[in-house]
Amino acid sequence: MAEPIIRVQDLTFAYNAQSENPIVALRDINLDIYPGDYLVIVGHNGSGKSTLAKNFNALLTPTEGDAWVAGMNTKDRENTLAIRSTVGMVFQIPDNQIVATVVEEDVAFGPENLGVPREEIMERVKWALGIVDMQAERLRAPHLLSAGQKQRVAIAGVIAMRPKVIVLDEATAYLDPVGREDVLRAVRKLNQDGVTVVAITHFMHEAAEGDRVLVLEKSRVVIQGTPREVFGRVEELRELQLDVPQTTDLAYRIHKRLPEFPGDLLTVPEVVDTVSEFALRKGVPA
Amino acid sequence: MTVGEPIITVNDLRHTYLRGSPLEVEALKGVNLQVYRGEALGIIGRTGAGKSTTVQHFNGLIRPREKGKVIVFGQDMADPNIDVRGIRQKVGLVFQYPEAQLFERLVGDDVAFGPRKMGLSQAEISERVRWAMNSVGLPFEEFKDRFTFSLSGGEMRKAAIAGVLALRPEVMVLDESTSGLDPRGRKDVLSLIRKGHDEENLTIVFISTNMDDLATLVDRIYVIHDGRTVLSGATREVFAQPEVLRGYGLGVPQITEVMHGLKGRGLPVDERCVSVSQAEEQVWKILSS
Amino acid sequence: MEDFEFLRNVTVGQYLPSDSLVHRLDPRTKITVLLFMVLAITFNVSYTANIILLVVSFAYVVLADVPVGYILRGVKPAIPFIIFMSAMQLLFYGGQFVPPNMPSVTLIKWSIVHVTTGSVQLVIISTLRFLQLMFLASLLTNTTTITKLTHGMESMMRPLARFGFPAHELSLVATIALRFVPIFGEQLEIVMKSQASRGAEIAAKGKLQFVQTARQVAVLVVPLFIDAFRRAEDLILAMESRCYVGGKGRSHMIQLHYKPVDIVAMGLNLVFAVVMLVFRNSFPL
Repeated sequence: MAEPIIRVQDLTFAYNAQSENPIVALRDINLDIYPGDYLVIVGHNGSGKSTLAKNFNALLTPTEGDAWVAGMNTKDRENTLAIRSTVGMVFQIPDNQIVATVVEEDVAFGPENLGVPREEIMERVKWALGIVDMQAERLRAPHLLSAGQKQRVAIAGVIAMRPKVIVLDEATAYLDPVGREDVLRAVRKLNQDGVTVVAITHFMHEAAEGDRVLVLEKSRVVIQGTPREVFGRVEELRELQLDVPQTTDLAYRIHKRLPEFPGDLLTVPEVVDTVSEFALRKGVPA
Repeated sequence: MTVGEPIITVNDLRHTYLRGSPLEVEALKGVNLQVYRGEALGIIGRTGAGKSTTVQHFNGLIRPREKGKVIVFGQDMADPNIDVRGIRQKVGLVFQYPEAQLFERLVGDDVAFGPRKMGLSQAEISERVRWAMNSVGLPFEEFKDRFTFSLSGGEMRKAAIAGVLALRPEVMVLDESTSGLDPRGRKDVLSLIRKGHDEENLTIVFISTNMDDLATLVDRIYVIHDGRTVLSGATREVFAQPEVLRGYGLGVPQITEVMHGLKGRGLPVDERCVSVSQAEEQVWKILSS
Repeated sequence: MEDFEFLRNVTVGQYLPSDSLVHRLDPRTKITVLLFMVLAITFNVSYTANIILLVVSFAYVVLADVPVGYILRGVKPAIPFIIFMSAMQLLFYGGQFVPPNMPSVTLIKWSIVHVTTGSVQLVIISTLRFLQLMFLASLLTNTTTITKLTHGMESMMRPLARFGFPAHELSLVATIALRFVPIFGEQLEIVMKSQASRGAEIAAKGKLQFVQTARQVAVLVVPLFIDAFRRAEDLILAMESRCYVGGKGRSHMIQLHYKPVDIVAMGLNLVFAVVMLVFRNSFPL
């Protein structure tokens, strides 16, 4: 088994740790993320998920415990630049990540900071814009783009640094359904190309994209497993006041009445197929 | 249910931003819609379709300057002499990400801004603020002296909505009021809107791109695409046309997609279903036969 | 009726795409030409020189394919200011200004009011200068994208970086500021509309718009400041995540190259400016 690209051990994080009223955002988190993983972290605002994300690229360092990126401890300031070029991060609000006044120049910002030679920057910019399907807009002013397009530019700007891991901190929160789908498509492509993805979200149906899901509540991990395993626990998710996709909701309700019917279905095609199959056994349609 | 004459009528409305400059943009090319008293109405469309531009005509922020007519509570909005402030008290408009309007140090003061501008007495202002804050789930006594900018995102959203509710309007126009909120926040906002409609008889106009939200909240839907009204009807009827909606860059509630899929497999279901409970009943009927 | 659309009247700073000769010049050329022209304008106070300078500025506008009406419309918001300044100069500056080529003749003298042919000249020259500078500034920004401008300025300042001058940092500050101008413009519009929807009187024409209480200003300014700080916080996180550590060690994707037409343009302009400066006191009138 390969070495984890991100490892977190007994991580506890408190804001204002030295003051009288520290706010503990994370408690005793243990986590290994392997190269190529697609991990989705779900939870409410205040559950600690953003805090955890920021520990992955040394924007925050643990109050107790440790975090390692590619074997480098995040507490060691010498490692910071190397860590941040290994783990790229995309944030919630598209506008507040874009620095330049032309799309391709913003995508070049990261590589320029790393001192990458000019010819190579131009290649990386072209490649990155291709992955997010924004090549046609490379000379446009960012403020003329839609939110979804801006977010894709932000992603391009991060992947142009050729990170091994990309962390999306609620990157779809401010997008409309079309924008969200465009971003998810780009992220899928990246994961297929071997980039490790850590997606923080509160949209449960996005959790279905990952191969592993972590549910955070009030600074701790409360549920983890494959999307199917996690979604199957409808009652617990309900108690946590998290969304259950309508597909899983329906499957679960039928499952309660008919135990042979699987209660952990995720997608529309799955539900349609499974219901049709069971219906056929009953001779419907005649 | 739509009864009587509409309180807002929009007829072939056009609007061009920055008209006459090299940057002009034709935002509305012919929007038609009516809002009836007491109803819960949904407006859907892709980002940039013209939904926000349209509703900004309801309270006079934008006036019809080209073709088209907008009548609100009997007033012709193209007339420069109408009492705009009076209209704004009757038609409350909550913008997308309304937290942007918060400016007072204390929550109670910010919610009081609207009533104060209306010139009400101190006692009436307090009463309005108390009612508005309690209605949105920010208990008056607990929140009135909190620092506005120390609230969580969801709480600030509610405070902003309370600020408009405090005007005691007859119509509440809510532009994507659940966007950017987590599931708990969304549930809270949707339930307060529903309460406003059911208990206070507020007429609701709800703009959203979240089909699941709309299905549970509104009775009628207008679809706006590229500056025009392209589809309208009862919620169930509009969502019964997923291919048409997809053509406009929109989806339908997941559960409706499922029912359509099942109908396509020859199963005897009503594909206009928009709620999981209804779907459950129909599917169970088949599987238990 | 309110009017929330301010962008329409802002012409300075607005890039107008075209393929004119001026558009194709290197931004450094245009900045340099602007500087030469400003020098020439500053030191020329005769009628003749200013007519010449106006004609030349106008010729540049034509060369740049920018509609003159568009630029003149940009003057509109400044007209009250011009009128006020002109009145001040006409009435009170008679004694201060002495034209280089002619004697100054007193026309009216009464207490502090002192109108002379000199102050009349001052008013006319000032107006002409204002137009020249409007043409040239608009020209620079109408034919050059902000981006190219900041690249040009950074390039011109870069030699100083060797001495510790923060050339890149300054140009990044300019770029970020410019990048956020439309964003804050939109935000301002949203806040104004939100507060107007709650009953505030914003952008109402006719009333004494300029007289505002601190509270009325707070309604707009506080939300914008909060918004600006939030954005700044986010942007810092994003920039740090992308390994920004200042200008040292950075490479540059965009490189500017002078073309022959740039050298010619700068050369001709330099000659013109030098001539205007050398002969500034020799123009008739």
